[in-house]
Amino acid sequence: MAEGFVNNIGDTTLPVAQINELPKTSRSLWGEAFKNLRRDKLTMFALSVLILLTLACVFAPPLLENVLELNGNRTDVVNRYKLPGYKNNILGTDQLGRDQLVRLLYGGRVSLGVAYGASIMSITIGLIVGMFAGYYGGIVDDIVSWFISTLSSIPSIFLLILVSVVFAPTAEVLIILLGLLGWVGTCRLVRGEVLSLKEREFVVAARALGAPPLRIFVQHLFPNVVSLVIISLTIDAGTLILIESGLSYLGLGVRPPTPSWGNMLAESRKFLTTGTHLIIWPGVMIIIVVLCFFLIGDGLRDAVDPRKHK
Amino acid sequence: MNTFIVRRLLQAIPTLFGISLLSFMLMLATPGDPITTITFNPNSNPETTMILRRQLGLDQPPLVQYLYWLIGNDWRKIDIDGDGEGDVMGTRQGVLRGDFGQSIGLKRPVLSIIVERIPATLLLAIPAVLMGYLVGMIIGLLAAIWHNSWFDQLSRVLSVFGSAVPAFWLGLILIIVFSVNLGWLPMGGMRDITKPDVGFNVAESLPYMVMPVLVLALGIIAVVSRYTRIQVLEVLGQDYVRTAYSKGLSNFYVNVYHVARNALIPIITLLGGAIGALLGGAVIIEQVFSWPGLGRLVIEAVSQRDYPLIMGSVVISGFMYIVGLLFSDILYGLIDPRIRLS
Repeated sequence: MAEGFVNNIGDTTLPVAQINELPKTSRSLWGEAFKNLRRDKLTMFALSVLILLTLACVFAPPLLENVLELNGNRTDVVNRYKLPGYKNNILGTDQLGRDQLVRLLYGGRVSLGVAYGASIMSITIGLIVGMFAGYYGGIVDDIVSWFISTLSSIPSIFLLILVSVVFAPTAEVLIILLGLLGWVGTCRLVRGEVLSLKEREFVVAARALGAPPLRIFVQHLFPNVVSLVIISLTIDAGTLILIESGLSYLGLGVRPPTPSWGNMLAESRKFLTTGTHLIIWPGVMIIIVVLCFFLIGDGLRDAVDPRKHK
Repeated sequence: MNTFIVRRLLQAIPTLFGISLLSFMLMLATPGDPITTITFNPNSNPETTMILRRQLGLDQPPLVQYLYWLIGNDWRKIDIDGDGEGDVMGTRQGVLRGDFGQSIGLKRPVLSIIVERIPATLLLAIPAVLMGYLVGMIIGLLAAIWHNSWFDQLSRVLSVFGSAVPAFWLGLILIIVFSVNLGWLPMGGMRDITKPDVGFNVAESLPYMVMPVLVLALGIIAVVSRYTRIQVLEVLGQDYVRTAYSKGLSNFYVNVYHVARNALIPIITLLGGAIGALLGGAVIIEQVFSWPGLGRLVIEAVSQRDYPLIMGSVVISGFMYIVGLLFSDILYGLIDPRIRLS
């Protein structure tokens, strides 16, 4: 009787088949997020545009100069304000007869470089300060919170104007300035997240096991805030492009003759009637890049949010 | 409610202190000797320069300078001839009593220069905020109610686009189209300078306001519509909305009395930030349209290295931002009792 019962169970193939159909390993949060991201066509499109543009700015100018026999720095007074399509000048020439496309790509190196560099710097500072303030609380948190509320109640453009006047920035200095002034938002986000994370069981357990703070930061807190940080990295980079262009417009960004999209735009306003096309291109480049950054940020936010994919 | 307001007011004090400290340190860090900027005379006698330096308190250590700047020095005697004894009473009243010092370029009290410019900035900011909030909230509300419709998609695209366009670029394009090509609107300024100046006149400034207000409002619409949409979508999923529908209430009634009322409360918190952002954003827009407001004043002060004026603008704009935040916090507390109690 007992033997028959066992055999009876052994004969059924149904549960075994079901187990085989299950995936061998469960997907991690990151695997899931990456899968969601790949399905999001708009975000992938924005990401590819951004990568292509970055590569173009890094590699294309020398190539273009050789192929089209142009020189982004050579002035040509006879051929000023030429419209797009004139001879080899695909996007036309500027007020000094320099090729607009080559200068746009060189300007992209500066603008994108400032955006990438400053956003990485501000994110790093924000992450570290935010984790410290959130984890240790008490007087550390009080001081950081006070500093954040002070820094964020002065319109950032005022601060930037002031600091730019004092330091008269090159691209490298501008990265440092923007990085040092831009970490407040990320810090606030990370601090809030860590405040709630540090009460959770896995962190308490790690502490109870005697894990040193550095291990808790790196192993337990960081993986839980990193998605937040990456999202704010992309949004920040977009905002930084806008800020750089605004500062340049006021004549306080990277100084000509080094081109950046901002100072190209700033120069072009003097030629409202003679060279209207000079205003269009840098503006369009800024819009495309900022749009890409914002769309990627949005897409990433959706991708790591499990509620969106039930 | 009173304790809530008092608590909020007390919380603002350390921040204001921080702003004053930060702007003072920036002033100290600026290169160049203030005396040379003031006298601007290479042949000045070192003896008189030293007297001027003592009169202005520039011979004192930074901490004392900060104290003089903050609370003034009219309560003690100043040593002018350098013999270690006080000679005459100080004349400065300090920032706390509204004395921001003299502008170097304009040779007038900083505070009165700034106060003169505030109406012009508000003339742009108030219509822009009103228009931005009204249009933004309506777009966000409709987008959420018609979730996933073409209107929703369009509003999302416009909102991302609106925050990606550099405001000054849009301003330049508007100038090219409406002033240079069509000639419908004036390019910049606040009034017709060929006519006699009759002072502050809104009706006269109206055509000059159209483009800058539009550009500023667009940025606000982008943010507000996006935020409203998220809030309304959140509320639409709540139990009380389902209950309201199941009671047989009409769509319109539920949307207005249950959804909109609850969803729009948190949007007030954006208001304080919007004021600060406008003061900042207006710097560039005022420059584009040659609008004689606070932002333009800062640019002028910066180009002339007029440090007292710059510092005064920073402190006052920070102050206005904090007042804006306080105002929106208190309004939020008045509308939503849960905030007061927490």
